[in-house]
Amino acid sequence: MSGASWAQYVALIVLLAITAPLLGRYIANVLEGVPSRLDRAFDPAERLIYRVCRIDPDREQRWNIYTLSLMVFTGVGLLFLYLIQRLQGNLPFNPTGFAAVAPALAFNTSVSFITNTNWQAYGGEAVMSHFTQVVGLTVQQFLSAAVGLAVMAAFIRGLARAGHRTVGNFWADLVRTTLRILLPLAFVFAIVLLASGVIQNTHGFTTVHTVAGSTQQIPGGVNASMESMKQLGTNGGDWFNVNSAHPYSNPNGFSDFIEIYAILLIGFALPFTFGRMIKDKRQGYAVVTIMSVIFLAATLSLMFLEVGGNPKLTDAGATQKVTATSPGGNAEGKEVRFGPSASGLWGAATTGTSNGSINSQLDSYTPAGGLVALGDLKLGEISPGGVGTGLNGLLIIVILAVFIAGLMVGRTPEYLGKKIQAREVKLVALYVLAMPVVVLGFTALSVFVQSVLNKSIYNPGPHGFTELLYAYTSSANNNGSAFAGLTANTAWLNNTLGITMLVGRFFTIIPALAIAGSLARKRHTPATAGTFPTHTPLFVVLVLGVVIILAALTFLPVLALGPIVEQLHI
Amino acid sequence: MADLWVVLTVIGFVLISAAYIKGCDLIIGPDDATELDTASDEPAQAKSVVSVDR
Repeated sequence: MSGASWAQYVALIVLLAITAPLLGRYIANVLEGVPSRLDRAFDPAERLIYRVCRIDPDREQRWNIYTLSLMVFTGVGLLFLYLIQRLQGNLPFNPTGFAAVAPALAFNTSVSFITNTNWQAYGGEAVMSHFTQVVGLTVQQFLSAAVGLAVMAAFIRGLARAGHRTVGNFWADLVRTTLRILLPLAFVFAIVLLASGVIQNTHGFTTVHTVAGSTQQIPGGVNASMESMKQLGTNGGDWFNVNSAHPYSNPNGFSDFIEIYAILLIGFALPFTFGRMIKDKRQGYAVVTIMSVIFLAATLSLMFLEVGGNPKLTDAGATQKVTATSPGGNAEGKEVRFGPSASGLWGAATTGTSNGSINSQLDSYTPAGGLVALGDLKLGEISPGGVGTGLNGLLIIVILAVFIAGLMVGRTPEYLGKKIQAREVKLVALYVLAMPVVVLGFTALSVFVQSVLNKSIYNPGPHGFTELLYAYTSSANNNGSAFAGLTANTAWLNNTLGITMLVGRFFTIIPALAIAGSLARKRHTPATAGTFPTHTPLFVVLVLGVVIILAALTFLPVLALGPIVEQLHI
Repeated sequence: MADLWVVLTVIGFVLISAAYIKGCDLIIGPDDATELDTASDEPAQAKSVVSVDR
């Protein structure tokens, strides 16, 4: 890698190391209702929302009521977003005069944005009106991220509390996280992106005459505000079809750096939030260490693989080395202004979180590079993962690791002073199985569907299979990135990917909150000499082992049919 | 007609989720009085609790 690539990488890590703990402390204060100087700014708006919506923020909920509130909120949001798309032809703020979105695509898009997936089976600038993009899609980018934070808050309370029936108030968590965390952050990042050249206007298409004498249609859009929340909320859905490869979404190296930072910031802040909320910062450090080890391994391997290029091109006499005028490496599907290393860094950052944005085409990565991106998803996006959901996913794996450790030494497993019993382990099993069931089930079914074979998959053999596997894996993990090369706007894929997103989102949230409810009522057991410490390097290694073994046992056979066999063909 | 199917699908999914919530509730069982100890280490925000939804 070039010196500039290393400098960018080190600067990113240093910036995250400085700012993530500060943000983590602020988020903990917001979720715990600690008074702050910002109350003067936020309290009036918060009180107004509570009054208008008739919310009593002090009325705490048992886990099942908390979850049911979340489901009803999500269902109403889904129908509202669907309605906007179906009626967009008759709604204002439609400068390009787009007609209603087709039902299957509108359903898929609604599910995609309310689940924080942002899978886009459409080109935004060619299908969606400004009204739909701003009032429908961008609003859901805020709300779906806030739901993720609310679920995480309830889960941590379940671990922290003792002898409680309740895990918080969903409506209060939703309002506070949106108002006090997401909106201010999104505002600041939108200004920075705007200054770096990301567009923010209300234009439709503008016809311009090029120097070659032809005409070209230049799209407009309210993009900087969407772009900031798209990255901060690990959403990934862009105003434009080619996402952050588009110069109006990601115009230069500076914007690229800021966007990668925004993708990772909240995810890496949340372990510090966790440490503060359970009043044991060492546990937070252990969690952030696990996330960081996976993140560093994924980013470095993906960057080196893409910079290394394709050996077959070298054999054919092509130069893929770094020179003064070329970033070198595997340049196919990548923007020249970013090059392979920044593209590889972006690829690992977005698949380690649940952010489906792209600044290069994953389909054009080396097979081993594609395997790293797919592997990040298969690990369950825990490095550092989606806003809220990533930390939850890792804590579920931690509980599983504690259970396995307990089995090995013959003691009742404990985590943070809570005994882990059969009911928690059953719920952990439900959580862990939800994603593989839909991914493997629908991938297997899809290879028998004629529309998939004849219309959706262009590339035959293992590469086409990887595209299909990636689509279901991305949807089930609420990532939303596509491997590309797959025509997803068909009835089969729109509907089954929609179901996959719903199951991947809510059939993990429900058991996670049930675990929170179960743990909240347990009393703390005092630590003894036989208690297995969960903040030590040994425990970090144990959890990493569980993460890798769990993913390998579940997905190695299917990966062997796709990227692994393709890499072996090179 | 397609719009109606979407509405029914969404309502159906919320109902399935409600059933799943009920199933998980059965797994963790009823609140056991012996496990509840409100005198134990409560977090700061719990002091403002005035009532509980069940």
